[in-house]
Amino acid sequence: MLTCRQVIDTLGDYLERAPGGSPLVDEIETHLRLCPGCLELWESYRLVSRIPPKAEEIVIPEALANRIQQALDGLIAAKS
Amino acid sequence: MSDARDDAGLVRAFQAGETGAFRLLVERHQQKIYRLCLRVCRDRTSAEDAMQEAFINAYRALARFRSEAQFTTWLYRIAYNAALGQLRRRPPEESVDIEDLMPRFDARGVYERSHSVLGWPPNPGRPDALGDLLESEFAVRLAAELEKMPEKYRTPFQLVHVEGLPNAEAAEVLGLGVEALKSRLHRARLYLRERLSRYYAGESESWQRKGHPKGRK
Repeated sequence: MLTCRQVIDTLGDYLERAPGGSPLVDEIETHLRLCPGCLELWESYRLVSRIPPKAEEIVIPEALANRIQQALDGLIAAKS
Repeated sequence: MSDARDDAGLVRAFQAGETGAFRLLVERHQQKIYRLCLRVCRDRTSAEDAMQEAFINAYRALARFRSEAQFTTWLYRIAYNAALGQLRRRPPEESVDIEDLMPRFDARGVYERSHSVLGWPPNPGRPDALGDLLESEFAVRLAAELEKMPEKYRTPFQLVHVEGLPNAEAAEVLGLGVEALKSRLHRARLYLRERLSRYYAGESESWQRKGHPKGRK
């Protein structure tokens, strides 16, 4: 049976695993069934990857969009 | 102004002398680029300077752009470098030692849990109002903890788990190999789940101190 360290080290690949499984997936799942600590870690690991962080929506300020366009105007004018 | 041409079409038009095509590319991507710059810099003034610098650099380099790369990946990479440049001009961030938040093991490789909290992790998947509330609370807390994470881990996490970039594309933006990116993502997830575990442990203790002996549910 895999150790906790081996299981936790491979959780990234386990999270992104292709459907169909592999012998290692079976071993990880056996370990998770038998080890409450790793199961708890896995569930929270999966949760932070699955739920989008809820932060203030970021919208570009109009003044900045205008500033960028003006900077481009300068570059284009200098080129032509 | 919208334009039916895709990015590759606008790039070809620019390279053929239609300089105005670049404006359309800017309009199309400025929102994403601003988000990236703000997430890396975490301060509006630096993010705005980084964004302007990014578009100027992209304008100057676009004539040499070759379509083996995706335009968006190329532009993201320029913006990321500009944002990093802004970040380096500031005094270093107070550093968080991520090692302190990694799982610990005994000599046999057995995981030593730091906390065991009733109700952790929360179960936002439950199909009721409490599930929605838990998910919302969790998502707000996750965003707050993400903000405190060192840039080295924060940006990869945001590119993949917030912006939805595939690993290979995020790795290219950050100038990393895919395995290095995966390693940073793994550590970022471990960091976040540990920070959230500590948060929920504190909340559970506070709940019990207030006379709710069954703890958080």
